[in-house]
Amino acid sequence: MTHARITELLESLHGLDYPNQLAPAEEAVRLADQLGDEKLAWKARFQLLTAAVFGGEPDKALVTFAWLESKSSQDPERFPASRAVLGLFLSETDLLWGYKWVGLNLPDFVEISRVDIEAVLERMRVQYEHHHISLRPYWAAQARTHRSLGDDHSKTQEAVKAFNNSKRDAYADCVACEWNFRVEMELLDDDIERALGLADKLVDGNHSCAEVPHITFSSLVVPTWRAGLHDRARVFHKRGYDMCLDNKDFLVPICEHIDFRLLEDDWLGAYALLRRHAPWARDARAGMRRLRFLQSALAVASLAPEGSEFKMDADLLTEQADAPEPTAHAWAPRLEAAVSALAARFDSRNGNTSVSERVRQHAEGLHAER
Amino acid sequence: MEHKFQINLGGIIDLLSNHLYSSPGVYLRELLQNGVDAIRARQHIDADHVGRLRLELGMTDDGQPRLVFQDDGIGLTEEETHRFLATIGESSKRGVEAQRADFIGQFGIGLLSCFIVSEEIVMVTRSATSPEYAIEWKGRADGTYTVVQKPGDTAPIGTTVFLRCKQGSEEWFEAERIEELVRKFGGLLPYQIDFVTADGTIQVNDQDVPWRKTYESRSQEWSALMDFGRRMFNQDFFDCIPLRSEVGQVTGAAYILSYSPNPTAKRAHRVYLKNMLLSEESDNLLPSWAFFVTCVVNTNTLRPVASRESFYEDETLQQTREALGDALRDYLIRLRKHDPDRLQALITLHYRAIKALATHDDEFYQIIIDVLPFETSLGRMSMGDFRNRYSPIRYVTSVDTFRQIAQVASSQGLGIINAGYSFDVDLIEKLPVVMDVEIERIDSVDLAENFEELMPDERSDVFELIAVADIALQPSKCAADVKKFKPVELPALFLVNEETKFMRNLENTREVSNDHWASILGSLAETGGPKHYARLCFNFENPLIRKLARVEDRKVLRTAIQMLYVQALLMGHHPLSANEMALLNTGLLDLIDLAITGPDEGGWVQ
Repeated sequence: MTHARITELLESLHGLDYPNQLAPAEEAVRLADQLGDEKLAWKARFQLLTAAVFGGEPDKALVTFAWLESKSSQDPERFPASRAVLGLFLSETDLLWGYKWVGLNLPDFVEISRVDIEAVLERMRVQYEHHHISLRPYWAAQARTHRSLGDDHSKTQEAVKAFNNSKRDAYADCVACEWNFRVEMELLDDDIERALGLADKLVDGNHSCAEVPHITFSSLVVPTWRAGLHDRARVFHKRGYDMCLDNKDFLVPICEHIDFRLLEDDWLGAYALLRRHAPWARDARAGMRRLRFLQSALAVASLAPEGSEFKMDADLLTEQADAPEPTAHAWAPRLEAAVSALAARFDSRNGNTSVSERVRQHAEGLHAER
Repeated sequence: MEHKFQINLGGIIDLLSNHLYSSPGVYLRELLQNGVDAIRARQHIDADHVGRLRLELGMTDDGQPRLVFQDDGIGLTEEETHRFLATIGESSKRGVEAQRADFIGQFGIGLLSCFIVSEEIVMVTRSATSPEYAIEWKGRADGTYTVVQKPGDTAPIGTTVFLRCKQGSEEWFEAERIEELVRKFGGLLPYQIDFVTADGTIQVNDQDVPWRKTYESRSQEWSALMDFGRRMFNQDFFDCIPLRSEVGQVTGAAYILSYSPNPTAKRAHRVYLKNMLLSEESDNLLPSWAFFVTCVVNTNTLRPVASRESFYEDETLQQTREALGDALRDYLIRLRKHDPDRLQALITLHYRAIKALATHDDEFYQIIIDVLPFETSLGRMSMGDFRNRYSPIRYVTSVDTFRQIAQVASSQGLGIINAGYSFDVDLIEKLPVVMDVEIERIDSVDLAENFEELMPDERSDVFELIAVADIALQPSKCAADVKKFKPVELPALFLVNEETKFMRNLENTREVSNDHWASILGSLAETGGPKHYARLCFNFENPLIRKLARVEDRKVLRTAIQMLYVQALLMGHHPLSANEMALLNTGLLDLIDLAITGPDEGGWVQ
């Protein structure tokens, strides 16, 4: 009966959007664990991993991947990391794919040390080499990790160069994701013209996947506006927001849309988005996601017209904090304190001041342009 | 030195038939498509030209089936014949011609598809622009072709294609099959299509297309659309909604299913491009929430992808999708205002889809939220009814949590909504934002806040019980408490919230992880600390717990607590970790041992 129920749950996932896959996938894992059927638990956890990664629960993805990777390292015969032959074969239960997803999200957790983050990337490299798979995804993950950890920009650039010099194989990200990666890197270099040129490939929808162009359009909204291309930025805002609004995995892209509305002098619009998506931030265990939302919340509170109402869940600040009065004036200093404290924790983990610096630039940018 | 590729035509045909095209039957679609484009091209130089297509099924002299397909379109000149039919990928619709919006084909490989069912294609054509003589083109599957002028031929202006059935393709030349496919692909074409067989001539596209007609009343239009839908999909529908969008030039109808569909099932929308069937499985024309309808639509401007089963995800498609979504949404709003009973019937069937729409449309949300049903601790209830009884709106975010606390909650007289199903959390969390309604997310820990506290003397009675339990449960990161709650039969309740549940899962995983991941998970767990401990809440109303509070033998007390802990976990459907399984095993054996040894020797419960 339970076997049948697990199979039914796993089959029900097909066609559901990712956020709605989480509950049935978790249920399937729970039942498989109760049953003590490790093979089934292995299979169900892969489904949970996908749902958690794309449904905005990186913490659950991390725990799930830890279980899978540990099982594989303890009993590689029974739980092989991959069935790839010369990088050509992919199966639904392939750990090597999971490294890309989980590795990328690790820096978002302030609790995880730099040493541990780098060790996971190293394990990824070793596994890919062991299975004769191109290191192209590894280099993309490296580039993003250097950026997240605030490392010297030259390290990111070196990783991008290595990425470009690696061949594509079955483990490469989809074409849409790779275009998005290029756009990200151009934005990091502040080259909006090149970023827009690359994004054109995605505008017509010829290349798309579960996350692209959703995140691409969102990441371009503010830089495009700042480049004076306001109409184009509005198109990115409309299309990007519509693609992101249903999935908390897009919390950070949503923040770009909140900032955009502030730039457009649409304070009420920014506040409406802030309130709508605040429950996502409250639930976000990944500190970087929460921090990014708090930054936008701070901008909205501090740019509010005099006497504006400002209602927010106090859990957003720190747990068990008393809620400030429901005014922007009362919330702004509390948000500022929460942002500074969290940024400082990331800086301490990273061993530099890059996050505080980013926070400062973000706030100054929005204030200056208003 | 520059070299040229050699193309293996046989390989290309195999590619077309086995990979690009879903069935050999598409050769008829390609013939129809070419014929229609040719007619439209002729209409550009002769606006009064009506256009007609004709298929004739017969036999060759040696008894093989033969299909003759004829259009009275623009035809081809000799030069065009060489250019368009000798080069794969070249289409008569490229370049300037391709700018014309009324052509269907754009990939220039249509005629090749006939090689899937025929070894040889013979085409006789006379151009409307140079009608002096006809041209005969003969192409063979080995890639060779001939072109000859036919000065004496009386062929009319237009093109006639002769296909001789190749061995193994007989089923694609059966009259019934051809009629079915022509009706399927070209049933909506505005040009008469005749099909001639030994039994006579029939007009294949004799069906009225309801959205091309005008009606005296809405009810007439409704009847025509319903009738059309019934014939097209061979089923009855709950209702229908006319669809019209300037963007994408879309016309058609959406049919509301008369049963509750599985939201995960792929919708089979029937989509026509310039009145030719593009796909019966198009899945990206409507918003994702519109899984309660199936559509038949014609579009004139959307761009199909090469497989022709969906459209490019461009801005025109986005705007079209929005316009079609608005039509469905307006229909629902009209029902809310003018026909609430019908809306109620529709919600019974399709509440999931309506909830999906309400999650990302604030205006619609305000109109509809109070009639949407939710599972509550008092049974199924509309949000409006629930709001009338309870404030704030209390809800849990998972089905598991609901199962664990629904019974206890209703015993305490609390109304709780189970928001663990798709869309429900989003809908409830919009209440304060859109409607200024107070909400409160709760979990079993919050629920326990409502349990009755013990009197001071009772508290001293359970002091030892709590002290021993805290120590016994510490390895499981669980703290103990004693309160009074209903039902009295429940000795203990395991209390978790999302945070403690996550931490519990993390700890269980850490137990079985390798050193590398145990270290990472350990870092995450460190931020938890005792505040993230789960709680085991003993029920002082329960007689067993009262007895337990009097037990003096620490070993017995400890074992009983551990067993109650495991039992509470099982009651709450929580998976047991390896340590908890061990507790269950040793605890059970200890209790059996104590039961056998008896109260005199073992200090058993008095």
